[in-house]
Amino acid sequence: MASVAISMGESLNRAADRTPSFENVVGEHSEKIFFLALDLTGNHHDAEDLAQEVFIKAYKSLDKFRGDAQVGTWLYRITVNTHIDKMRKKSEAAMRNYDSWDDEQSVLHFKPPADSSLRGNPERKLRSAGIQEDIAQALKRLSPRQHSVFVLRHYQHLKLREIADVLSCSEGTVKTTLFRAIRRLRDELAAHRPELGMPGPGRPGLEGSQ
Amino acid sequence: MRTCDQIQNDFVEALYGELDKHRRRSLQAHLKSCADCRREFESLRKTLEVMSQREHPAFSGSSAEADASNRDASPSEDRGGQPFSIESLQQRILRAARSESGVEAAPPISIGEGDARQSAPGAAAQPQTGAFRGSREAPSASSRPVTLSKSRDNWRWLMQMAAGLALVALGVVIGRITMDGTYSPSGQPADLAQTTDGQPADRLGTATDQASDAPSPDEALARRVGGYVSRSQSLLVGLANMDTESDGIEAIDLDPQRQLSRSLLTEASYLRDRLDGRESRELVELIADLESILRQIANLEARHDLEGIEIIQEGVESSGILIKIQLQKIRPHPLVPERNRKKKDAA
Repeated sequence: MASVAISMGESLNRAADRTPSFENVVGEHSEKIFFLALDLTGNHHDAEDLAQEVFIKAYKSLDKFRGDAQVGTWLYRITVNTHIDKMRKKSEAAMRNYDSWDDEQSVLHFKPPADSSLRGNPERKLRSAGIQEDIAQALKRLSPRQHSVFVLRHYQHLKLREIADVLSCSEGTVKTTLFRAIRRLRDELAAHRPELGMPGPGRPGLEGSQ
Repeated sequence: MRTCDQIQNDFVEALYGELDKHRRRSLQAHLKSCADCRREFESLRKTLEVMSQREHPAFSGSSAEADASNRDASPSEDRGGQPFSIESLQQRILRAARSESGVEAAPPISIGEGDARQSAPGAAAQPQTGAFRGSREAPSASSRPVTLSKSRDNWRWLMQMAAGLALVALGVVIGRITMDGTYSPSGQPADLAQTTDGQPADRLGTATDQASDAPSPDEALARRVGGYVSRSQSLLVGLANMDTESDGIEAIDLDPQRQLSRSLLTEASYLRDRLDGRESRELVELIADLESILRQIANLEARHDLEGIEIIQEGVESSGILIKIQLQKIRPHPLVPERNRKKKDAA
């Protein structure tokens, strides 16, 4: 354990021969946490910042953490919660800047109608060219929680049960959130990807309720 | 015959291949006969196909450009111009942690330090500890070359093991609480975090050990509060994780849960009368919140009240009560004098 250079507290010496140090936790988990952060934030720079923030939070609260069996779950939880917090703060700031965005309904105001004359709009056609752009835009339309659940299932390949553990909620809640997320993505993507063959908007009983 | 709504309730699991055989067949049969559901399912499936085409942000051109422009604004001195690697990120994290510990009293940096005294353990905890300990043998972060393409499978394995073992442990603790009327609540709030973290069975042992300590009245009350919160938490976690969709759930008997919540309600009214204002507002609120949820549980029908369970699950989720309990456990308890806590830690 000579490689542990951060602190040489008594507690460390006592436990060093049976539990991993903070340095080992970083070594073991930073890659997974970075990739999760990358999926959540969508860019390298923010992902690095998020990952660092996560480990510093973990470092500060290591004494509150009991049992090393679920370090991974614990770190995932901190990552998702930190990210959701950041997104909320960001959107609160955005709302302060745009008076008209005072509830979720009015955010929808900016969503292009799926089958209106806008589809012929040259600007929109140009934007439709890039599928990456469409995907990124659609993901941005999800609530922070929907977004996190979708990332954990679709890009991180966690099972619903595992996501429930990370988020400390029931599996049923994860399922409902994910269902709404996917419907929302479908509605967003279908606006300029008619090949999705979605049922028309407003079809009774099929639209995701928010 | 299931309705369209019930069928659509299975869509998410079906889309991700998590549906059991029975419900998959039932879904397939329904989709054959219902055009609306079929269209809906297909559009969702295609949506996921499109979403799967996302390039990993790390390697897509546009975000690399975004990176470059962000990099100039970065406060960090070591990122400019250097190619990213996990290793450099690890160095950055460790540097930041070092500067954190320079400013504040250094927190213990080893995980599981607090567990030393309860390590007698649970065979349940062993495999995971072992798995994690294995990582100790790895070279330190500074000398280990880490590449971006390393497999993430270890994580999946760890999660599956952890989830399975946590469920078993939870079953044991609920069983013991409901079967054993003489269970004496443990009072040390920091201790309670174990309930969801995998080693609850140990705590029952510590609780009985402490009973011989001849505690002061304050301490005894604090223990009762701790015990009340902890037992309520076990009950809530058990209910919150109950899968109301799974096969065979109809046969479930809720009687033990109802009995436990009734005895907890009695305990709550006892505690409420004795708390005297020295406690934190959060604790008082927590006890009151728990009481209202417990009352709902006590009022469940004895058998297969699935709707009741779902309402309670929603309540647990929306009130954030489990998070509040965790927060309460993190706080030092106002009623337990510092020296006592130290003494127990040493023991």
